[in-house]
Parts: sequence; C-alpha cells; structure tokens
Amino acid sequence: MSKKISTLTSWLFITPSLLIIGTFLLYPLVSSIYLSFTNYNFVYSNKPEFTGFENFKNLFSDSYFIIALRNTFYYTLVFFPLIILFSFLLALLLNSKTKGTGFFQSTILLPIVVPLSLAGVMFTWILAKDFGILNYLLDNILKLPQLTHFWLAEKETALNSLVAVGLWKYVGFCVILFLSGLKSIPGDIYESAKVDGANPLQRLIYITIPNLRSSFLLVAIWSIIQAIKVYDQVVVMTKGGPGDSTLVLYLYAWKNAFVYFDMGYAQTIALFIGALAFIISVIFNLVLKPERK
Amino acid sequence: MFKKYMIILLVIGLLGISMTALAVEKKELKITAEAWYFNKYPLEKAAELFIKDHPEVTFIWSKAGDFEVAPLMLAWSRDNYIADIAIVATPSEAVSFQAKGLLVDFEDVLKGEYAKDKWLKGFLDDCTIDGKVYAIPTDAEIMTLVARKDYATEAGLTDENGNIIPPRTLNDFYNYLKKLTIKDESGKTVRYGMDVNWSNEYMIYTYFSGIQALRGTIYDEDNNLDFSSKEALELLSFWQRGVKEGLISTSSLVDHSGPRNSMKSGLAAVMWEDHARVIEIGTVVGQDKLQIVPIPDALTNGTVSYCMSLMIPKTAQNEELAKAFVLEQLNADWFAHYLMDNWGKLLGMKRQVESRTDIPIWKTVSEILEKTVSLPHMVDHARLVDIVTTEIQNMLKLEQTPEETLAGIRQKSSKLNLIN
Repeated sequence: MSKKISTLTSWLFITPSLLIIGTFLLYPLVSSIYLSFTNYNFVYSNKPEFTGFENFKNLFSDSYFIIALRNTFYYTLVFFPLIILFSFLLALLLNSKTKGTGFFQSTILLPIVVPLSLAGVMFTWILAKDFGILNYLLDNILKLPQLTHFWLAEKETALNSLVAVGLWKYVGFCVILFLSGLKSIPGDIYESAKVDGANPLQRLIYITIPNLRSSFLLVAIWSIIQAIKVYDQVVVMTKGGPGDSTLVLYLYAWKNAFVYFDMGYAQTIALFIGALAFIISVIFNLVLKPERK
Repeated sequence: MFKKYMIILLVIGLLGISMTALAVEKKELKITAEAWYFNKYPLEKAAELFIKDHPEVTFIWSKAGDFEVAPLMLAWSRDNYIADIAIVATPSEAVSFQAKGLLVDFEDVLKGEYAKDKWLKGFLDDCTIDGKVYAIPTDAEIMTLVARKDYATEAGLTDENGNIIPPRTLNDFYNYLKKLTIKDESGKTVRYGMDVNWSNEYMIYTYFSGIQALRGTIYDEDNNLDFSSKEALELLSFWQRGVKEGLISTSSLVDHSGPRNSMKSGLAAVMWEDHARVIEIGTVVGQDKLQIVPIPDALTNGTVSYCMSLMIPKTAQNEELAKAFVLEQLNADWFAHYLMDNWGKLLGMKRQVESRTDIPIWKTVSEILEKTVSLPHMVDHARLVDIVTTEIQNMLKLEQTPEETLAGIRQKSSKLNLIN
C-alpha cells in the first residue's frame, strides 16, 4: 500500500512538469513535424494540405537553401576551431596565478551579459566603412589604409565579420567551461610531472589536454550547435546580405515562416537544422567521449 | 390614495428610464501603431479636435513594438478585438489581411469631398484590393532624387537661379556624377556623386522607379513586371558602372539609413530614395541647400510611390467612428501640412499637395505625382523583393553582369505567383 502511495506521489510531483513539457515541447514538435509534410501558407491556405516528402525534395533544388547551407557550414568551420582555440588559450592564461587575472576574467566574461542583438548594433557602427572605429584606427592611427574594408558589405569579409562577433560574444562562456575543467585537475599530477622532468609543453600535452576531454566535448558540441543556429547578429547586422553572402539556415527558415508565410516549407528547414545539430552532436559524443575509469 | 402614489411612482420610473436611454453613451476609439508613429505625428491633437465634434468619444492609444502580420492575423482571425484603427507598414500587408476577409472597406465613405477622384491615384491604388479600398494611405512617399544645390553649383550643374538642371538621360546623369564625385590623391572617393537606397526595404521601389521613369511603365510587352527590357539593362549597367568607378556609394547594402547619413554628413551629393528625406536632411544641412530633382524622364513618365496604411479590422467595435476619425482628422489639411512641413510625408489627397505648390519642393513633387504609379499587389510579393534584392546586390558587388542579373531574376521569379 505504501509503495502504491509512494508511486502515486511521485507521479503527482512530476505531472506538472510533464504537462508543461507536453504543451510547450512535445505538441509543437509533433505539430512542426506534421507541417513539414504539408503545403500550408498561413495567409492564403485554409488548412494544411498533405504533400508527403515534396518539401524535403524541394530543399535540395532550392538555390537559396543551398546557399544558406553553404554559408552556415562556412560559419561553423571557421567559428568552431577558433572558439576552441581562443577559449582554451584564455583559460590557460586565466588559470595562472598572475596579478590582475581577476580583472581580465571579468573583462572576458562581460560579453556574455550583453544581448547579441545589442552587440550587433554596436558592431555595425564599429565596422562601418566611413564612420567606423575599426577603419579609422587602421587608416589614421596605424597608417594601414590598404587594410580598410567595407566589412559588412564585401563578400570576402561579411561572413567573417559575423564570425568575429560570435567569437566576441561566446568566448567568455567557453572560457568558464575550460576553467572549471582546469581547476578540477589535481595539482599533485603536475608536481609529479615536474619532479619527473616534464617541461611546460609536455605537461600541457600529456596532462592538461587529456584531462580536459569532457570540457572539450562540451565546448565542441555547444559551439557547433551555436554555429549551426546562428541568427541574431545576422538579422541585426546584415539581414542575410549583401546579396546572399550571409544568408544562413536559421534566417532562411524564419523568412519562409514569417515573411513568405510558407509554414510547411519553413518547418522542413527547421527540421533539417535540428537533425543536423543532432547528428553532429552524436558524432562528437562518440569521438570525444571520455573513457570510463 | 394608493393608486395616486402608484401612478406617480410609475411616471417617475418611466422618466428615469427614458433619461437613461437618452443619455449619451461614451464610446472608445482604440488606435494601434508602432511606437515611433505616436512620437512623430500629432495623434493626440487630432483626437482633441475630433472630440470637439464627437464629445461621446474617448481615445485609447496602443503603442506596438515591431508590427508583424502574423500576430495581428491570428488575433483578428479569432475575432479578438485589438483596435478600431491599425496603422500598418504597407498596403501589401492589407492584401494579406484581406485574403482572410479581415478588413472593413471604405467604399461607403469615399464620397463628396472624399470621393476617389479627390485622391492621388498612385496612393489610393496601393490601398485598393479587388476594386475596393480597404485601407487609407498615410505617410506616403515617391521615389526621386534629393540633391545638394551647393555641390551642384560648384560642379557647374545649375542654372542662373542656382537650381539644378535635371539630367535628361542616364548618360547625362553619369556625367553629372563624374563632376560631383571628389577623389583624393590615392584615388579613394571622399565624396560620392550619389548614394542609392539598395537595401532590402527599398530595392524593389528603387529599381521600378528607374524603370517607370525610363519607360513610362513598370511592365514589359507581355504585361509582366519588367526584368527584360533594354531600359532595365541600361539602368543596371548605369548603377554597376557607377559603383565600379567609385561614383556611387554602396552604404545601403548594409544599412538602409546609409544614403541619408551620407547626405547629412556631406559624403554624397545626390541621393536616390524617397522624397521625404529632403526635410530630414534639410534640418542638418539647411533646407535652402537641397532640391528635389526628378529621376531622368520622371517628369514625363512619373515614378513609383508607396505608403503606409490605416486599416479598420472587422473586429473593430466602433467602425463608423473609426472611419470618421480617419477621414476628418487623420486626413485633415492641418494634419497633412504638419506631416509635410516636419517630415516631408504625404497623405493621400490631391488638394493637400496642390495647396503647397508655391514651395519649390512640393511643386516638383506635385509634377512628378501626376504620372506616379504603385506596385501591383502580388501573392509572392515578399519572395520577389528578396530575389530582386539578392540579384541586384550581387551585381553591385561586381559578382555578376547586369545581363546575368536580369536573367537570374527572371529565372528565380518564374515560379512565383505574381498576380493578385
């Protein structure tokens, strides 16, 4: 009897959470999967019309989808290694007991609290061709006018500028993840290694990096997902332009849903993004999974 | 005695009921618009003046963030009352709402002094869907050139009165830009001849304003939107050449405010955008330094216009009062002249512009307005805007030729539904 009461009590406690998850997670998910198999224009259709796999077939013959996919891949391929490299190096520096690390730690973590949309507006002005601080520094202070660009309007620099903004925003968070990993490595391992004659580089390669496997996995998966769903700075800074230079998957899905009102196709793109993120996470988990001790 | 008292009570009761019935019922008018609209325009003054003639009315102001079609559509589809009057971005959104039968038409009130022939055709056409007017134009603009007279005088492009001689052809215009552009010793442009609004918000209007001016129509021989004529090719070639030679700025590829910022800071001598900017820029550089110049041949062929729209949803609680407010105050001459003097914007009525033709800016605008057209309503309007913007911006980045650009637009738009 008491076991039944205990079971009932457990169910009573988790029911509100299940209701919330069901309402705000499961129902929208099932609904969006269903819509991806339909043709449904929010304005001109009365109800969704089931079309099977038509939307999925159209994906790969849609030139703008291919461009968005290519741009998103490029963004990910540049963003992912750079954020791991910068955040790891910064974490190593901040982990040292040098004077002033507290101040630098605060500075590096500050971008986390700035909304990316606000940062996008700020960087739009910094990167402006005629009024921007960056071009002013390069031209008038460093006397390097050949390096000035119309950063957000040139094909070669627009997407890279968005990567730079993403790095500025998220490197602090990744530094925290690496720092917590670094602080969990016992100090006596390093002492023993020093006694055995290991130099700093050897300690880094043979002690630090292997012991940060979990942190690398976490940062890798998180940063890949952030890169695949890049959106805020694109909308604020370039809106996918100039031309289609910075059109990315998330923005294209949003446009199909809320500008073209093609809900069915928008859901198809959204599902594709979700599936892509899931597959990449699984691959990374398999490759970088920490060994069981 | 008892009967007497009963009769007296009955009479008093009946009197009370009839007084209550006769008493004026207070009615609320709720107006919703994006917050900037309330800051810019004297809506409260309009309300005060309306209340003098309609003392039973009180107003509620609902300031929205960024208006998007979907939330309003959802609310109105479910018979939710949001407002009696909604001031929304473009009439193409009215098309979306009316596709679901969500709007009230103005046919019954467009009579007498508000008859359709009293309105500027381009603006009213923009608000007409299937032959009925479902929105009233507001905040209306035409695409034209705004130019610096002082720079033009330096370049020898003005007459004896100091007025800019309008360029007659694109070749003329190109030569103007060469004279207006200033470059430093290294060849870097320090002042552009022109800045053109090629942003996503403006591109389709900028492109078709050029087509209308050059051809007198935005359609080709097959009655499709023109992406194939020799004038279309000439226009794109002119733009690309101007960018390549450093005569035309590309600031708007990133920022739709780029051209007006260039004009305010003296970085450009001419701007190809909406006429209203002449007032905004004038507050910075001085109104006497600016002139509205027609796009080559626009005086003969007109240009393209666009506007915002005042809509009344079917869920409005006071439809008749809403219509009365829209016409009596939001289209009053004082309101129109306030918009013109302070922001350069137009309302839809002919008399409001005609009464100001003693001012050179409005004289030129009035002349161009006669042949000005609006874009047709299209189901896939938004997709077409993106295609045209993407292809022309790619051309301006020198990634493709004008011929490839037009071919790309034709190919990508071939599957779109471009009829209303």
